[in-house]
Amino acid sequence: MQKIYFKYLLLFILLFYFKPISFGQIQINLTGAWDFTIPNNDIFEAGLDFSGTYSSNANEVTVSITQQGFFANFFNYNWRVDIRKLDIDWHSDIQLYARRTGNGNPFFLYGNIIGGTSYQQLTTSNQIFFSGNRSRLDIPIQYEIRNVSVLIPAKTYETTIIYTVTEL
Amino acid sequence: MAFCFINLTISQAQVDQDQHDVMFTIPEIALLDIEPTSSTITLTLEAPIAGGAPVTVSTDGTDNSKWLNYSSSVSPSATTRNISAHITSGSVPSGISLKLQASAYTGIGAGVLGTPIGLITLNNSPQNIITGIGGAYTGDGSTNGHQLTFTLSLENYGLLDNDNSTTIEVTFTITD
Repeated sequence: MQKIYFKYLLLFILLFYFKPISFGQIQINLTGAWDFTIPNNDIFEAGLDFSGTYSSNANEVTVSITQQGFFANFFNYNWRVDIRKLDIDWHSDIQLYARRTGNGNPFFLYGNIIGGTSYQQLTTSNQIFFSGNRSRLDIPIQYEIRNVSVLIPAKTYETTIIYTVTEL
Repeated sequence: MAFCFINLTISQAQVDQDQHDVMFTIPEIALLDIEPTSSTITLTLEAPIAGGAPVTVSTDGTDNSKWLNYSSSVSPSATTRNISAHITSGSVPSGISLKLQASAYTGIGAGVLGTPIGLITLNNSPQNIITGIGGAYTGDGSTNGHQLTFTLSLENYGLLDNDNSTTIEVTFTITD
């Protein structure tokens, strides 16, 4: 009897430390978006340029890393989030940055999350944003736009931010 | 069991994507300012220094202490902007005229800065003094932008009226 309990305990421990890759499917879900207009009083004195740098709320977008299938979220697995932008109508002088402002919430068991806490400029190529292990919810993301000037034509610019999670 | 895990690890790429949009709007801006302040300037005709001598326009009849600063953000489809000037209060005493000239741009600004028209005679109708302003900023304060030179000019000696002082308000407008 003790042997059976030991086997189950061992299996339980193994599953919480190692997740069979066939079990579940990693998924990433974003909540929010950023729509920003420079306020009319940004230039407080004629002759000046725009202040040029604008930040979103610290949790403008939240990212959740989970497994498809509820029980798969209890397993331990490693993941990495890459980020890039896909310009719809963007100006090459406008720089877009992103950073992670918090750790989010563990799904059930605490895991790690590292990287991405400093602003990094987004390009059209994937770059590593942050990584971690175990399922994690509501990781807050903040954006910043820099290098804006009156020299750039006045209009609405649009880009798509693409997050890719890879189970490692 | 372990062999099974390794096989599945190689055969399945565990990747997922999600995305959202970022929208960023730069508004159209047109701001104009006179530096160092919008305070009054005084122009004076020189009284004759001897009987029979004419009234003259001396250095007191000219002022170049004012500068025009502007910030302009324009849409891609918009035409350039102009700055006009006209008298909005008071009138120039008879026999003389008030002329205005904006200098070429100088300063720490950047962009598509305007081009001065040249010397104009101010009246009650707006006249362009600077044209062709695109997305640009001049820099703030004196020595940035376009220096303004106001000058009194004798037009008809016979219409001069001694001791006819008056205050004139000149308004500058930046328009599309």
